Amino acid sequence: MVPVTDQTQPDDVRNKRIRVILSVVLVILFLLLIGLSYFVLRLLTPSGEPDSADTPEGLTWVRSIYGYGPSIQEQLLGPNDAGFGSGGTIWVTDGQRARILGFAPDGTYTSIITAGPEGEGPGQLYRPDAIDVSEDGEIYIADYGTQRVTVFSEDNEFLREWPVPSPLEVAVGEDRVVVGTLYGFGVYTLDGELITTIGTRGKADDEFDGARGVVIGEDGTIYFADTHNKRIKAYDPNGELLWIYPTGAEGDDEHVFQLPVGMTMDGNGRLVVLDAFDFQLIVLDPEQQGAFVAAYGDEGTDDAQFIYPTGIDYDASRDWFVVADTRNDRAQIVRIEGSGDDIGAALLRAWSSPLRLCALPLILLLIAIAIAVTRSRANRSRKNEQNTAEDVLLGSQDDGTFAQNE
Amino acid sequence: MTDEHGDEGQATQADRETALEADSARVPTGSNRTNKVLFTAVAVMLVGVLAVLLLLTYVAISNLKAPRTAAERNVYAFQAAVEQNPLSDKAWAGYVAALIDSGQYATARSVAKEAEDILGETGMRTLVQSALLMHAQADSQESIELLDEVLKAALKEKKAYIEDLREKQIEPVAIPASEVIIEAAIAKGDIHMELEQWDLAIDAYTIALEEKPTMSDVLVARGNAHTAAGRDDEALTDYEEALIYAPEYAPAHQGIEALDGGGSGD
Repeated sequence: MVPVTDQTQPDDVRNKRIRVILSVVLVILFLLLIGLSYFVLRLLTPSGEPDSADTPEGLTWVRSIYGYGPSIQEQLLGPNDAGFGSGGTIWVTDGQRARILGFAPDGTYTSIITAGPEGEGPGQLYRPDAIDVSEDGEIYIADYGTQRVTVFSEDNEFLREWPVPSPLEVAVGEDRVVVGTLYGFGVYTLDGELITTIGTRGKADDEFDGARGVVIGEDGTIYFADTHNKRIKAYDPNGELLWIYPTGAEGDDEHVFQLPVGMTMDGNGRLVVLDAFDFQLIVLDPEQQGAFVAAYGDEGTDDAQFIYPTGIDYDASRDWFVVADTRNDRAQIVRIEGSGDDIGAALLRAWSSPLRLCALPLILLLIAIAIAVTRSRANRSRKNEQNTAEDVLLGSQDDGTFAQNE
Repeated sequence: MTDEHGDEGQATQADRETALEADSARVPTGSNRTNKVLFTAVAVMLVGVLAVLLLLTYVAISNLKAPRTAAERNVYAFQAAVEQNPLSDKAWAGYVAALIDSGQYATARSVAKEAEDILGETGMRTLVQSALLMHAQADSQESIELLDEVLKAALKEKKAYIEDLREKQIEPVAIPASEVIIEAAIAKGDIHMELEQWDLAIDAYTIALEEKPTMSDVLVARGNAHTAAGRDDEALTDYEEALIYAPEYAPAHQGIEALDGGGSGD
């Protein structure tokens, strides 16, 4: 043991003073951290969020995207379609301004697809209305103004284009592009080479009146929203009609569409169709020939409501939808029941929230606690060893026999 | 042998004591250890505070200015409207209303004050929003008093306008409805409804409907007040009249269904 001397007493006093000062500083810093974190939380939480009482049943509002700034020019104007790109990037058409805006999953603006002044030149956009993104990140744009499908990279590099009469919607599969038109649809290679066109304008089963929704299923089945005929149709990869919903048969309890437009497929293989005049997401079961499953949504201007929504896409990794809420001049990220929950998607969704930024101080604190606990245990173990050594030495000193008996 | 062993024992004892002192010097005392832990904790806290400050900077740099909700968008839109037309009572009123909807009461208060300074007596619609702000902040009585003042001033203004026309011997085809009277009366009616003062709410809505009888939403609101007050016949009259002007108006249908389902019990 260290003998207590007069010199150790001032050391003890000094240590005690240091301990008090450090404790006070620690408390002040802790309070400062709490205050700053609260301030960040307030900044990150948008004002006027809809609460659960205002949200239609079965639909969860995540966020709304209005643009990249406060002025009218920086905000969306009647977006007609939206799609998910690589990393969950949300691409939204701003057709009246001949551009596509890109946003991160947390809603912050990231990029733009634009070809400069509106015009007819190669790669220029006039009225980009419909959009889809391929697996390798190429953005396919159906432009009704230029009567073309134009392809850009996510870095705003023009890649290629080809003419399509009256293009209304576009869907990209593994090896083909399907373009919905006023008269039916066309199937093209990824380079724009025509494979086939199917349909004429009319009301018969094999006719179309505006194919404003197109989805390519995993098995190659192609689903269409035959908009002004108010029905959904399915075709096999060879262009043979499989089924139509609603069938129109009397006595059947079928859903009546007002104006089916954009559509997508969720994580559970269900078709999700936007009805622009009903302001709803309509869920259909393609395995049951499009049988009605559920409807979600209400009319209105508040967040979580829609007015003439026309475009939709699904992000499987985050299990949420982006809806081009056209008349409300915004895109909304929403979830609906049964669309394919899993823990991975939930974690990724949580990480997509702006609040993830607040995780850093917490992680640092946890690391500090782990280090403090480890060091404390190491010190305790060393102290125990020292005490054992002291006991041995003290025991031999008191006894005095060891040295004397030799 | 004893002396030899005794000498050896003392040397060994001295060595042991030296070794013990050296060990003690290496192993920190309890007090020192505590200080080191505290120092580590302070360092971590400092890093945490710096990290949050960095986050604040990032958040400020990123497009936080872009609206994230309908309420925020309305705030920006009316803010721009006020900047473009600072003498517009409608723009200021919309700005204050948007701030109230987004829960920014402190900012709404200062904007309302600014509007009052700029518009003076002409800012009656903004005063209506100021009254709603008071109600949002639990000053319902003051809110109602302010609305009464606005109504009084607006009615007086309208009366003066009509008399002025008569003096000029002008008989207008129709006297335009006063938007100020309508907004103030509806606001007053809504507040009375929240306070469950049904008869006062009915009176307020009636003032609004005298200005413009075709407002289906106000007819339904008055119908709801009648239902709550136990006057089913009057409520049904209002709901049916609302459907004359807006046949698909869902709240009117809901009101009638509620009466069919039992209503107020009378």
